[in-house]
Amino acid sequence: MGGIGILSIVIIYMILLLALGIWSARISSQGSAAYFLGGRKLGPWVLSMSEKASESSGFMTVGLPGEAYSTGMSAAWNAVSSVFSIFNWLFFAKRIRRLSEIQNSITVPDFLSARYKDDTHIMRWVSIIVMTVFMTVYVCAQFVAFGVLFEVVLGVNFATGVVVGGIVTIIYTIMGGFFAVSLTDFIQGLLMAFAFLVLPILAITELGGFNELGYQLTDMMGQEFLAPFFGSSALTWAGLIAIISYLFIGIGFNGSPHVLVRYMALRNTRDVKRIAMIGIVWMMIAYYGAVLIGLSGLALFPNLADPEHIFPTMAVELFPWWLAGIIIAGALSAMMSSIDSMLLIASSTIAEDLWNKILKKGELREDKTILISRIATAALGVLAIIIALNPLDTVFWLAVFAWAGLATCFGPPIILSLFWKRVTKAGAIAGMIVGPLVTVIWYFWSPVDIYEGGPAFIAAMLTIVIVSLMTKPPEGDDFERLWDKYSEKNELGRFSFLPSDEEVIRNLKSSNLDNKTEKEIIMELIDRDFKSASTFQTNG
Amino acid sequence: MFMMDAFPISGWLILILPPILMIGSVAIWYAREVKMEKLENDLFRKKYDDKGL
Repeated sequence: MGGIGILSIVIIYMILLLALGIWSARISSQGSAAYFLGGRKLGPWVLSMSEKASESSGFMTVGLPGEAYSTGMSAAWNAVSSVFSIFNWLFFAKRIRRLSEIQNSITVPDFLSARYKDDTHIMRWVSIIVMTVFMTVYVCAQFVAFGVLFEVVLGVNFATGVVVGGIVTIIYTIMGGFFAVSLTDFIQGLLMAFAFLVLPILAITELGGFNELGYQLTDMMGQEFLAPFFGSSALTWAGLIAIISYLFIGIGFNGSPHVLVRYMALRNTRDVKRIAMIGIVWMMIAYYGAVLIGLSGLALFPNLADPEHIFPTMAVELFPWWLAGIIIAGALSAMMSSIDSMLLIASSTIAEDLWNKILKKGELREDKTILISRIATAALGVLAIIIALNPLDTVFWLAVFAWAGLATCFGPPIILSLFWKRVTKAGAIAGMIVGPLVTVIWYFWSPVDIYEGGPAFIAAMLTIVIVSLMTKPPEGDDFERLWDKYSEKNELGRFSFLPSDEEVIRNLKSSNLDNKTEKEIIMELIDRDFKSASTFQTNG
Repeated sequence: MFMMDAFPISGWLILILPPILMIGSVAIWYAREVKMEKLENDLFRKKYDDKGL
């Protein structure tokens, strides 16, 4: 029953995702903003789970537990890199939502072009090239992880796993757009949290408790394995470099377009605080859960040929088939949620930025834009499947490399555009080119063994600042109006209200008695009385 | 190496300290946001009533 049972649960799960995609098609066919941003109607729970699930990818279920299995407690530095996600919520998310509403931008390149008044479309071209190349690499790596999981757990041929998983993900992304992607991400995020919470608890219970886990690992690997200093009992120079490298991976949170676009899709800026609270609790459960899965997995299954098989192995060996099926669905979720978001972002860039804004000068009908986006999703997805069927050995590491390429292209110009009026178009374009370029150079010819994302991000930031100071500051009535509206503050020293903010306060006002004036309360009571009396009048 | 039960102190610290600090900092910010939003609501109501809308 085991193998067939798990396979049945995975198939039911995939049918559910397809059904959600078809159901979401009703909403996504209401125009470009509805297709690419879910009509800015998604609540904080869905957007928060969607943000976290799409960030996570196969790294969380395959990579991080495997890393903890082989390097021990040092893998927990990955969890510390979550601090970069906090920067997003506290400093960037509200500003991105605000500027995107003022500019009416629906994609990340759209946002950049409007902010920097780029009529030459150079920014859009750089965005299109970087997104298409790096996102295809990233999606391809997820498909490979998909195939591996199918092969290890379900005994299904690697190629079948890649093709089946790939096609299901492509179909629901095509059908439902951002709305479907966010809804499926929500389910996937919950499933992942369940898997990362339950698996280590059951494994540690099986071992006889947390202390027993520690004693067993000390006997097997020595005390240094349980210290976070990369094989040493105290911090060394090499350990410090490794810690910085791990922390730099977190920079990806601040620049990845599929993360930033979620802030543009917020209903209003007040949702950010809820997204932050849900997100940080989810991250702590998922990251520490992944590390504890690796540690407890080593104590339970010390002779695994490939450390990256620890997550599926534990699920199958420790749980009844039905629970293992749910956990495996959670693992697949981590990959699918990244694939769908990446595909949608890349295809929306091709449709909206390349086809509509550059080729058709913004005059393409919305239904045509969506159609082109759907064709681009299918084309990029099929291309990634074909590459994934013949994977390179280094494809997993290419995924981390792609994460850096994307973050260093979009993070620096967006972050600086939110805080610094003086940043120029030339500076932003230079940074967008230097970031991915340094990523590639550092990846192949690294002068110091440190993750390429960190130096590339810093290089892009410095380039933007230097070039901006050397070029003519932005000017013109349009720009001044945009900046004044964006930076306008109220008496409390906070940003002035936008239409979306006013709407949320008005709704709050009408649902909260304390916020109503006496006149409003009386008028509402009279209105209610009138309505309740009207039924008697009708009968009479 | 300083040990506490089966784990070194540094191991315990990296397991316990970051979650407390990160969740705590977001919780403090959340509370501050709620407080500021209440003030904003009052400000909005004042403007809304002044306009007679």
